[in-house]
Amino acid sequence: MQSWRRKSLWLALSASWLLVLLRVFPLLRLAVPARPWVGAPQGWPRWLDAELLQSFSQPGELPEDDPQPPQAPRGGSCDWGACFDVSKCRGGGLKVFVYPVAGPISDTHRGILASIESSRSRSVSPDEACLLLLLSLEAPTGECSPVPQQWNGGRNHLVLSLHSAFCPQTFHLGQAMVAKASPTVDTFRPGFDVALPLLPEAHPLRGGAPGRLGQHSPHPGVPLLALAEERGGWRTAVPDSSACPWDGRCEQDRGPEQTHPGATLPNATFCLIPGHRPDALHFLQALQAGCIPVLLSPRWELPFSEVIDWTKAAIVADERLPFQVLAALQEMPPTRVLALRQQTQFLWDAYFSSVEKVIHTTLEIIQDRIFGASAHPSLLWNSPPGALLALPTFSTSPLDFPFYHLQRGSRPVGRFSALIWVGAPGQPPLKLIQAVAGSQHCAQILVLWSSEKPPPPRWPKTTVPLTVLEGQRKVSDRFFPHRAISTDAVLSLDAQSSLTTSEVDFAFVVWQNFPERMVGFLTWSHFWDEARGGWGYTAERANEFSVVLTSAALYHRYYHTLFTHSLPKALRALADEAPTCVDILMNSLVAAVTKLPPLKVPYGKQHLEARPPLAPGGPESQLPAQDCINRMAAEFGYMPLVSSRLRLDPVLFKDPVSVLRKKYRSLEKP
Amino acid sequence: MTMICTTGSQEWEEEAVCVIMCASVKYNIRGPALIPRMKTKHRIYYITLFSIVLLGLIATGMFQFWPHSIESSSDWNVEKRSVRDVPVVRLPADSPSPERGDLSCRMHTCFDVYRCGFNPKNKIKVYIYSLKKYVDDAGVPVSNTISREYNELLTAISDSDYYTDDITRACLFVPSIDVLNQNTLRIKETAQALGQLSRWDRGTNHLLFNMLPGGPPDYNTALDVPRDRALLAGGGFSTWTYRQGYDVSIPVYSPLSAEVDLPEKGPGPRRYFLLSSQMAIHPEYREDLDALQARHGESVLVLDKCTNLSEGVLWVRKRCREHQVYDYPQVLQEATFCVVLRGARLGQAVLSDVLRASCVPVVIADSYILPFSEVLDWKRASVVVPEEKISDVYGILQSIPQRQIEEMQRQKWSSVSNPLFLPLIPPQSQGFTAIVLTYDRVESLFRVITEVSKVPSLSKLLVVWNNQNKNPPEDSLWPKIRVPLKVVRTAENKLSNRFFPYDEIETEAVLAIDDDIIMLTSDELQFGYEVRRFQTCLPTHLATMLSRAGGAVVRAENQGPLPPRPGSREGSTFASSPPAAWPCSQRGPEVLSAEEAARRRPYSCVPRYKSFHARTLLSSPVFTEIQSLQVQGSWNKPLRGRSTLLDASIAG
Repeated sequence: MQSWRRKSLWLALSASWLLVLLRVFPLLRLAVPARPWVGAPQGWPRWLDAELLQSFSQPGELPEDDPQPPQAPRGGSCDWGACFDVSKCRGGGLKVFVYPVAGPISDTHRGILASIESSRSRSVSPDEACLLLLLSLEAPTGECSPVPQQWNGGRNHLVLSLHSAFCPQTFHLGQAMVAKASPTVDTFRPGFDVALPLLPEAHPLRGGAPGRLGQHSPHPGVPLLALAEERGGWRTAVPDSSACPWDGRCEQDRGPEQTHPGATLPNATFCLIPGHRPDALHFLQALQAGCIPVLLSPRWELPFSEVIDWTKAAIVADERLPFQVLAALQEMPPTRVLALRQQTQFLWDAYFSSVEKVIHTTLEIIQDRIFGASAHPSLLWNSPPGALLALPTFSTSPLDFPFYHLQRGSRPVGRFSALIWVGAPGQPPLKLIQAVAGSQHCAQILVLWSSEKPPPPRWPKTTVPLTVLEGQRKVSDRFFPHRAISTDAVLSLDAQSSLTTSEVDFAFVVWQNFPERMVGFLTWSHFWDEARGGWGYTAERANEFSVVLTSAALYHRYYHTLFTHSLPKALRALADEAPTCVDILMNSLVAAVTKLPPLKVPYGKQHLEARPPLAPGGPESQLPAQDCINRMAAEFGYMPLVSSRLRLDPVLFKDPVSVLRKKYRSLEKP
Repeated sequence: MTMICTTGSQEWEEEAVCVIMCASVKYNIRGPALIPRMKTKHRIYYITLFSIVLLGLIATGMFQFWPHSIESSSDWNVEKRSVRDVPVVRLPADSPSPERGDLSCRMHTCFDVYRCGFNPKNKIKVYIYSLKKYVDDAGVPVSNTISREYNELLTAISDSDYYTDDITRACLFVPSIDVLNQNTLRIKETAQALGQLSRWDRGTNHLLFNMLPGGPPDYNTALDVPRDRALLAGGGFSTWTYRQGYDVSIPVYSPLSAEVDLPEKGPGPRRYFLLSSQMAIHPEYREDLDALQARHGESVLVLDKCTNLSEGVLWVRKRCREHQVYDYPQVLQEATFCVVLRGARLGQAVLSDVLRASCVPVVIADSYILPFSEVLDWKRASVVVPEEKISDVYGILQSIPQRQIEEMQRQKWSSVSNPLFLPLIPPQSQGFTAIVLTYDRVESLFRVITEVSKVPSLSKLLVVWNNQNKNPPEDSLWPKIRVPLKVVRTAENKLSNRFFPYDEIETEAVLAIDDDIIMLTSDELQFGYEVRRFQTCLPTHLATMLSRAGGAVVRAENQGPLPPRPGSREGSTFASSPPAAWPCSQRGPEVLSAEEAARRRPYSCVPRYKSFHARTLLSSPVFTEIQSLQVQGSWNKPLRGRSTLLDASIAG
């Protein structure tokens, strides 16, 4: 009986336990308020009547906005729409008037005038001018130029001051745009003023030093940071290279600190630049050295910030967080470092390396504003070769240019146009026409008839359309952007050239892979002539070449536009004087734009035996020919030609396999 | 029993009791066969006990899972209340008001970065003040408590990773005072309400959202409420009021197109060339537009408000030209270009409608700061025309080539993808680093080293010792060469070890070579290096770079040792790789086969950049196979710590 009682006790206990379990837990849950997880974020409440809330605007308030008359410019403040009169800017090109300066003209001033002259703008009288340029130069203390007659409240004026501040005391700037070096953010009017770089006193007028970047990725062991110091020096923190080149430990033991008071260019991956205006000078140094500028809360506007996307080349950081900045730099992924470094070099070369480029960029920005819809897209400003070399008059679509195919992973489509130049003898090149027309990639044949004799009335029948253009008997006419050229690729030929269809086919395939380069068959090379103290070039077959002859070369038709509209007039005149010079000029132009050598493809021996290639100038024309390359180098400010040691052949070229397996058989004919 | 478990708690309890009773009743009548024979009271006792224990177990189990199921439903998580129930705050008439907006504010002067130290996941933290209703002394409300759009906006912030409910950790503060539309609020009192926020501190780090700034008659282009240093995300900024790098320009939300579902429309020619759909256009501008329509006939369509609509038709959804009625915003899809003209305000809601209809906006609003212009390149998706040139707008648009129009319609912002875009020909003096991967073929290895060391441009030799069970030979046994030689011992035997970015690689160019490639001459290798130097077929992917090997070399692999080629070995007139099979042309599925080949290829000249950059390249989807093939986690574990450097330096 006792056991039964014990058992009933157990039973009762268990039952009550169950009851407790079932009853108390829900009660407990009710007792605890509606938020069971204490740590979870509360969030913005979901309102019960969220659906019933009113909209921020009454129906019809948005479309029924009050109409407002055109606004008059507000006192003191100016922007492009209000203060610039575009009505005078109709017609091709930017019409500029530059105020003459009273008194002696300095070298810098002359240089600036020359660079405005060489830009794409046109000089006109002040009444017709769209833009009136007032140069502000270092005048002796207290001397300010008087208010010019056509000032008109500064309307359509650009006050350009490269080095010095403009005299504010003589006249009010009013509606004039100001282009000055590193303006403070408070006075800068975005979209109206132009921010220039703060140039050193001895900045080259043209040409300019190339960027110093030797390789794409930072050299292991190179210091991470260089800090801009006063008086133009840099202090680099050299970590113990074996211990921690990229590790986080470097910030504790920075190793011996080095100061280079003499050396002006920093050698580091990142360059820390304080935000005060005088330090802006360091910015250009870092850019040239390929050292990524890290700007600590800059109080000045970055140069050409209207068009240049500085986030791709520099880092703007907060000066109040030095340790976070340091940590962020150390942790920056190598890919970004790589991209930033390359962009610094590109920007330096494209816009900053000479006074001329700075002036041209300024004018180009204003031109972009005026032409609005046909302005450069941002991509053209921010990727090589830069907006100065990608003319918007040609096209505003990146794919029309030869430069952007590789970046976008595309390649030019379509076929090529053969442009045959017929010079003095005036013999129609029938054999050549047949050979070229036989190519599967040929779209049209254009004969540029530049001979005294009239062109023959009948031409051979070809599978592709043949057009005869009347030339102007000038050599530079060969590279005029003729409207008739309908394809991206141009095969430039002489009446005397001889080519086979296979050669043309293969050259075109090569060009499609390298649309920005010239593809040629015959080569010259340039060299530095110690004895004469100048440049020379030779047609001798050597292990290197830097020029492909345009008597048989494939290239993008955009280079015709560049040759005619971008090359200085003096150089184009040079081409007309000395016909052999035209090859050098065209090659220099392409090399200056791309920084790459031309490409050579195989050329059959039989042609060489039949007619030896034109030597650069016979004995009688030797002097002007050599003179040509030196004048070209002087005009560019440096030697743009790049040498190459490479020749491209088809895959099975001269391989011991059956001839039937080879795609370009006739290339190997002895 | 399982069925019971799925029902609610109250029913479940009752049914459980029922089951116990049923069981005992059943037993009284016949007795279940499962229960062994014993005394009746014992049986009852055991059955009851068993049932209770079982029920207890089930109940415990249920309580384990119950709270979670409640948790996941959102209404448990967030308070459900009515907007009308929010606490009321009375603002005394003399309560302090913030100063006017400070136009000289920049991030480094007006923004307190020290509050932004706490940012897990690299996201700054945003706090939202709780909603209150503000009334003045007389009890008249200051503004509408909150609008639907502002509520949605705050909900979006609250649901994002940026949100925090901890005011002490927040970097940005968003007041719940709704200032989206300046017309619906009382300026002075709203400012006072802002001023009494708990962390206001002159508005530092506070972010206000405003879409309709200004009011009659002068229509300021920024919110008129004094806000001191607060950041303003505003629609309709002009260059005069916008603080570059501080304020944010946002589009004006348009409820009209948000409510309508427009079908996707691809690029291509459309019925009208130019369309103006706005209703409130200044008469001067309307004259200009009408003149355009008269001149160009069918291709220009200028719409206006409808005057004779029947009752019940929503007039904002209709636009008219004379008596023809058009549906809005559907009509926008019929045009290539749509005019977005300034009204009293610079920011126009029609811009949102136009973009949604993938019509190219023609923005005619001088000094307007386009939405998000700090980060977007509007030149590629819109045309900006000065107000002065409104009568020329047709000519300006006509001069845009068709291809560009199509790109604008797509609103495609393509970006530069090539990692090496700067043409750089490294100086020959830099040379290259040879990386020899070896396991244990020491004799063959030494022959390779001797051969490679003859190449003039070699600057360093790195031997990757892939054998963990065997030590590399003694220092004295290695061949004496003129360049530094280093041996790296690896922790695992992997082919991918040759692509690790070792710190010892100081040159841009890297020659990867196996220990059994003894048939190559130094001339061939030197030429391979030259090809790489001049070769600027810039790599767009890994395969490109791997196959960027000097072309002559590739053939060596396929056909064994190179036959002597008369005439091709003098100087450097070697034949190079074929453009027909040039790596640049290999895209898509071909990449993988090229990769397969590259994996088997005994050696190749690759830029150092490749190993430097491999992680990013491998992350592209094309390389998934390679990833599984050769990476197997090795990129993610830095070898640096584990590789022991045996300095067999046999420097010349």
